[in-house]
Amino acid sequence: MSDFIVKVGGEGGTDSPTTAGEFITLSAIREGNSVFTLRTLPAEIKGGLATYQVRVSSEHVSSQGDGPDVLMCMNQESYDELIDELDLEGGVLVYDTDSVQLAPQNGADHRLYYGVPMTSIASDEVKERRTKNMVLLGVFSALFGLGLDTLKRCVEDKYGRRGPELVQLNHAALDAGARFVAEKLKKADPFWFQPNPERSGVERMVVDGSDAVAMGAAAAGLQVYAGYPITPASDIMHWLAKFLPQFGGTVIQTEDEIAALGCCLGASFAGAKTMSATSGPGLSLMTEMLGLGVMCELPVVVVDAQRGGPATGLPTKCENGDLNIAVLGTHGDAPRIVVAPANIRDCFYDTVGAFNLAEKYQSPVILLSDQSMAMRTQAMEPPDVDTIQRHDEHGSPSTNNGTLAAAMMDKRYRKVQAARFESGWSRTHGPETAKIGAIGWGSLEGALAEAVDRINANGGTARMLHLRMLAPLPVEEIEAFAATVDKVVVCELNFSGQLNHMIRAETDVRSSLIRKYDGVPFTPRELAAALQEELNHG
Amino acid sequence: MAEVAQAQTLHEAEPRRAKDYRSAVDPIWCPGCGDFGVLSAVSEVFAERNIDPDNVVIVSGIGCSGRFPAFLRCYGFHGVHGRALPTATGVALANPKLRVMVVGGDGDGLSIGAGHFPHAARRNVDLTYLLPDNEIYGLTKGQISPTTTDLSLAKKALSSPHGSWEQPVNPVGLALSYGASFVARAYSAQRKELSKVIDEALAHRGFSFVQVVSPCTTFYNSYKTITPKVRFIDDEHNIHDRNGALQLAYDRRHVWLGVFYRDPDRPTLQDQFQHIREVSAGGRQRALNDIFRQYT
Ligand SMILES: Cc1ncc(C[n+]2csc(CCOP(=O)(O)OP(=O)(O)O)c2C)c(N)n1
Ligand code: SF4
Ligand SMILES: [Mg+2]
Repeated sequence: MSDFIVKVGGEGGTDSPTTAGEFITLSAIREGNSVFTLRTLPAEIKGGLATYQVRVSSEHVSSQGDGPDVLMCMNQESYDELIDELDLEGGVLVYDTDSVQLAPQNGADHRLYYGVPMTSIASDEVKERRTKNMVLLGVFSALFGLGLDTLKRCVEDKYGRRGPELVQLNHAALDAGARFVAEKLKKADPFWFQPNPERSGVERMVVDGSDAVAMGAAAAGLQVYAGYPITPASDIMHWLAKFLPQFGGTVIQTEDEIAALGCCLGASFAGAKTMSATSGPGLSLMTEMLGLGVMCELPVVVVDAQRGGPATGLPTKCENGDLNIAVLGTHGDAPRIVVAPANIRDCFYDTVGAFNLAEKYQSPVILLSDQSMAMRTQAMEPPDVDTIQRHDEHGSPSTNNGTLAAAMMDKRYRKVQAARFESGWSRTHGPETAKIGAIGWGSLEGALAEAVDRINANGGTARMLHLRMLAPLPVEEIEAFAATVDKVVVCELNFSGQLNHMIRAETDVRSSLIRKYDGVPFTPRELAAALQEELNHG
Repeated sequence: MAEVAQAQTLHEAEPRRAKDYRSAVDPIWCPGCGDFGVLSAVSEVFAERNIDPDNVVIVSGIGCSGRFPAFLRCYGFHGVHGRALPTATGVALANPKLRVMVVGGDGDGLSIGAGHFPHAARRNVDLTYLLPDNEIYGLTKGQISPTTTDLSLAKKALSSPHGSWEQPVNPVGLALSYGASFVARAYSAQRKELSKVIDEALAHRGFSFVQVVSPCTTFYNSYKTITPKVRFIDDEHNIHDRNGALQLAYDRRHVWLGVFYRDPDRPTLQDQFQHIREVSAGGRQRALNDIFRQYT
């Protein structure tokens, strides 16, 4: 089995490291590997440092892993910014000798360095400076075993429409990179791709969380989308603006988020399937409308791609701190359904599920995704719409006839509480019983699962429960899980432990908290260490 | 065809009367409130046009005037304060065949909801927006509003006991500058003109805005100051001339009533938007499969 992480960094505009990363991803998929990618875009609108990280494994992977094993630097800035991420023991650096000046090495540095004159190979040999990222890919292929033919075919598929010259040029650059390795470098690291022909063609789509949500909405029959731009949710609107007409739907960019949800509620009132997507600041503005939707029992899906808060906060960073506002936000008592996908596949299927719940329970449903899912890609099987269960009945809007307010409140609570017995909104992982039981929600599932595996591999016992429906809280399920372990810890990407509070308030479980709130997702290593600490001292 | 013919005979047999449009709920407005006039005018015009109540959705703001839908027999949506226009835009997007009317007061539309007015106007949503303007917050019992011009009329103005320096906004002027394709003003005490203007607004394809001067007898009784200033816009005014319309709107000495501006040719939101339609699961799968290929 092979499983390692590559990170490519360079100048966003001229080096195009993202394109290089995308070709690695696509080729790896075609060779039957599983991938998990993360990209960072430059803060500058044009130019600046862009990075693309991809974890490639011959078996299914569900987290971004710990840190890069192989770092490829196309310019000085990428080296300066990223080199500290590379492990001092055994990390591999591939760098452009034409543009990177290495810092003096100290004795603790046992990394492996491969220098390649990428810029001059592109400019002098291939005679096109812009093929530098293809030279890098040729080097990558020869050094780490990703098939050169596979890469070439990907180039044909992506650039073929633009003429044979472009394809030939890029092929020449790939060959030049590979040739340099064959002639000038001696491989001394253990990282080597293993094609997995059995899996090839299975997980053949590479999708990010935004597109997966948008596709799920289209598959579910979304008809009216209204939204206001906000990072990291805008990509959902962009996808829908492009494709939704093919699905019989329409997209409107409104003047603010209040108008967006207002528009959705109006459309829902008139019988359409509706959705809006936003991030924390937008959800804050929507809360009064959310209460209106609950009161009028109008089906609508609201996606919150969570980012760091409060206020404008950390707009390009990751935090799962909107659970409270999603579950409780708005005045009065306003029960609603809150679900949270944990990976890219979920982003598709849980969006479909959210539409179904909204129709079935005639209620707003909030879907909490986050920045890390919006910006990552994972491989998945192309979904089959026929197998997706859908509810087509249209809700009749409630009349405003002064029915006893108390009876209406009773009804809304009773109705929504029933949703906690819906099956399939949680996953467990690990042995049937264990010393420690971790409960998670949101995008950290993959990292938590790997941490649990590491604990079990190291002689401890751990299991986990990952919740994808958070309101109504599946109280019975949480209590049953707690009965199988000596100790429960809730793992969350926020400061106060919002789910932990809810569990302690609504169940008999006395859980403790593992948390992180620096804007960066948990790595498996961090979670494993925290769980081990709980095991040792808890 | 047969169905259409039958429907027509039914209409001929029983033309709807104004009271057929009124619900069982009696208005709870104060005696003399201008909003009574607006309600009567709307039901009269509906009857004259024999409008099918099943095809009408009235979306309202929150305020005394926002109670409108409860008193009419058609679909109604009484939402949250200031957000009637975006809600109505959603209704229009979902079903372009519906006749959409929005009713909300000066506070609702020009204070808390002021951000939505320009956008509904420039999108030219095909709906009729009635703004009963009493220059005060009625429902919350008499605080000044963005259109309050004469504080001495305010019975309480609890929020401004020391007066106010704030300039009132001019609803007709705003609508004209936001690019509304139909802009008019009427007065609840001038019932004939009011009905005529509402009728024309309903006939307009596009965003039709009507400021209805509608005094609040309880907190801001402006009948006596407004009535002597009333003038009717006549044929001398070119209805397609926005600048001329702005001059009438900002005439300090007179309150001009009638249609200020009309542009019947602008495309509406309903024209521009791809109309939503049902697509079968098979159709969705085919569309998705085409798209999925771009991700491999
Ligand atoms: C968000 C919010 N803020 C405040 C209120 C209280 N409120 C209800 S109606 C109203 C103003 C009503 O004035 P106007 O829109 O002019 O309507 P009128 O009663 O004069 O017809 C206010 C401030 C509310 N309902 N919602
Ligand atoms: S308070 Fe004023 S606006 Fe409200 S009903 Fe009474 S008179 Fe009409
Ligand atoms: Mg008012």
